[in-house]
Amino acid sequence: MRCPEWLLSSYAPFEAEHPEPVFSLDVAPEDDIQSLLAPHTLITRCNEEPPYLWLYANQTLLEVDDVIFGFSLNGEECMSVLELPAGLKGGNCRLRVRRRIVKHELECCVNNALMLLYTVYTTRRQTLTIHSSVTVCEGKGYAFLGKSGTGKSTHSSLWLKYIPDTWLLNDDNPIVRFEDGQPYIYGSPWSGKTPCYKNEKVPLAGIVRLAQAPHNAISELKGLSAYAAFLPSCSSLKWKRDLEDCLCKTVESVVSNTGVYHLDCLPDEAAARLCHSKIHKA
Amino acid sequence: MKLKTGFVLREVCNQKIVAAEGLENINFNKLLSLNESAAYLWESVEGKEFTLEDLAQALIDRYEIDRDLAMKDSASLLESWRSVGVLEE
Repeated sequence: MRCPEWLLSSYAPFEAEHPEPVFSLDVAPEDDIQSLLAPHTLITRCNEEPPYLWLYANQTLLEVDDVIFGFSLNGEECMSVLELPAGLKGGNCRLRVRRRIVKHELECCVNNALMLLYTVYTTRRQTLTIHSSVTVCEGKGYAFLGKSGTGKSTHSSLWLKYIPDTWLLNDDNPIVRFEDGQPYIYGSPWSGKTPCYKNEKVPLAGIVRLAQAPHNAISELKGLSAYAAFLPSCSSLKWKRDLEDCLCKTVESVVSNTGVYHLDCLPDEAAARLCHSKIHKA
Repeated sequence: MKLKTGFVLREVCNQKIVAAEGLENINFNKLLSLNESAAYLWESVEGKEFTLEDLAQALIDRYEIDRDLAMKDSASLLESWRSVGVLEE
């Protein structure tokens, strides 16, 4: 099937003149997703809220070809099935999507499949897909972390409102890459509910884990505390040891080369000003 | 008893930690920090059946401490591993 234009609009800013693909995704309609999944055992349905990621196992959990990923917007039924090449040899992947699917559900399946594949296929290149809202202030990137509902986007919007020379790089799933001894943060085609798809790269100057509190207070984290603050926000599929080794190394390199902080905060101007004054060094 | 599969000992930021990796413990979201002797014991029993006495003996072999102290230290380490849920009994 031809890929409709609306489906790829968030990817348009990232179109390269001379692309060097690391993977490809073939999307095909499928009449009966459930019988396709029937021989496999459901391991778990991840995420508390949509989009849902479904993990199915064949026999052993240790080989990539024995794990099958599914996606859906509703929590009752898996709507699409992603197949990766055995042993991750080569990059030709296939997503089978239920034939009669509504537009926004197709969008969800395709976007999540692409994000998962991007994460898998760039893990060995010192690259992380993270869950974060990111602002850029005077050319430096600041990543705000926290569970859904903590107020990452809210904190970003307070920076945009009160801190001069600040803009939003990404509101949900930016990319972090460790290059030549320094971490950088990039925009991506995935930005949650905020359409912010920026093909931009800036040095990552600070990582801040947010926690809702009745007051504003910030502290710097070092070593293992910094690692433990950042790791849960890095997308990981946790099923292949060599990928996990790469991911942990990259996380360690990033936290050893940028400031990591914990911010107790209210959703107010003072929180943004406190955070900015502590972490931004012009 | 044995250590549950899917837990991996790593060195991160010059410290030894154990984290859940693999799909067996997908909802385990803690990092367990181990001191040098705990990491040594973890490595010495990883993947095998073991007893409290095996841990104590490993401590005696390496640190030349007396048996009472080795048993006491091993028991308290086992208790902490049990409470975080990395033991299979």
